[in-house]
Amino acid sequence: MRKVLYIIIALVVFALSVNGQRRNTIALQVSINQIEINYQRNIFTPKIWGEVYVGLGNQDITNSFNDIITGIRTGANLISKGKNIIAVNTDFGIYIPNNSLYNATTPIVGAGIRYIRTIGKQNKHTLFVSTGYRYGQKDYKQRYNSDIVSVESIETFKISPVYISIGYGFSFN
Amino acid sequence: MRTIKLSLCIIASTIMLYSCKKEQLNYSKGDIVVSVNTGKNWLHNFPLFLGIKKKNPPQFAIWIEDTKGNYITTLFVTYKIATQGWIANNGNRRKESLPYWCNKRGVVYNDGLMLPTKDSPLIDGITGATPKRDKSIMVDTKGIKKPFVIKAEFNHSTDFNNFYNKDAKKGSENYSGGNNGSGQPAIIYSATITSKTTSITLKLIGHSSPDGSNGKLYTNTNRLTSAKYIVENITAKVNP
Repeated sequence: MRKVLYIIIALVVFALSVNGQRRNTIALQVSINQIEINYQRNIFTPKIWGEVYVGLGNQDITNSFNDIITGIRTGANLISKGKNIIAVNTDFGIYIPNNSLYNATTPIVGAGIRYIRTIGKQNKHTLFVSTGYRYGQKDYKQRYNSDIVSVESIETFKISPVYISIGYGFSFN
Repeated sequence: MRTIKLSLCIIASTIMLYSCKKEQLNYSKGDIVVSVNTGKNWLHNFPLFLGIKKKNPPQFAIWIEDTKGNYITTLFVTYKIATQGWIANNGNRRKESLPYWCNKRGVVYNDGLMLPTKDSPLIDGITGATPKRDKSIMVDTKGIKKPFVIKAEFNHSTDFNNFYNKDAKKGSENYSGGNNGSGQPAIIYSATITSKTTSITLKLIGHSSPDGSNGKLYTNTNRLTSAKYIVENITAKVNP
């Protein structure tokens, strides 16, 4: 758990240490397996951005939206025409299953593509669709002990590799 | 720029190092490794909605009995059975899922069924995720005298065939819970571990009650089709 805390602190430090921001966006993003809030700001140029996200997932044994997921994304706008933007991004994060049966805090790496459509006269609102591939799996051990028997088992927790999500963002300076 | 690159490198390295950690079972002399090797029908199409299907692994339990058939302890049970963790089951407790193991345990819950509930989940043995591939468990039978019997029961929901079909009438011998029922009943494997056993393959000894109404063992498996190929084999090996 201490490792997780260090990584979360590193993520926050990274997000706050970025210079040259011109635009901030807070967004809500939803997929079948995940609900997240993310905070995005530009890095160096308007075309490159960094994003910190935190949310809930449902990929562990209970299938309930009570797992914690957090991480960072860095992205670049590849195409920007009028109100339409296509961006690519990388993803580094942590998935923390929440159940009483096992611990399997799982690192995540991934890459994705995002279509963003700005709406409104001042382009303060955005709607977007993201898709991509993420890799994250972790072995975990379970044990049972009684007076007459001891049992051990190893299983692998694996996050769903392909995701498609939709989101809404609000931008401010 | 340098700070950002450094931060990214540190985060990526931490993640990679953390993900490389591998768990291993710790074997001692006399420990028994029970391995479930998946068969060609381990994953079964379960209907969700609008014709969409999901490939589901089976529910199963592995336990120990004495040679007279008395239940001793559970070793491993899948999550949905152990905690009543079904999704969208509309209150159906799926008593036809693993009735032989349930009756062997003999624990009756508030609703009269022998299935664990959400409020009173199974506390014996390991409750684990249903594996999508081969599975091994390590067992130290420190307080159980040999010979004893290892048994395992497996079941897919909606695993219908010509005989155990979804239209079977309630009360008939092929009724397995109706449209969302079991289809083919749970199958049961068994092997006796003696003091001389070094390695043994569990044998198919029959199936359980199709509708889950009793804990009998039905030894005639002629009407089972795909259910026979849920597992390739189950072995128990004693660590020398």
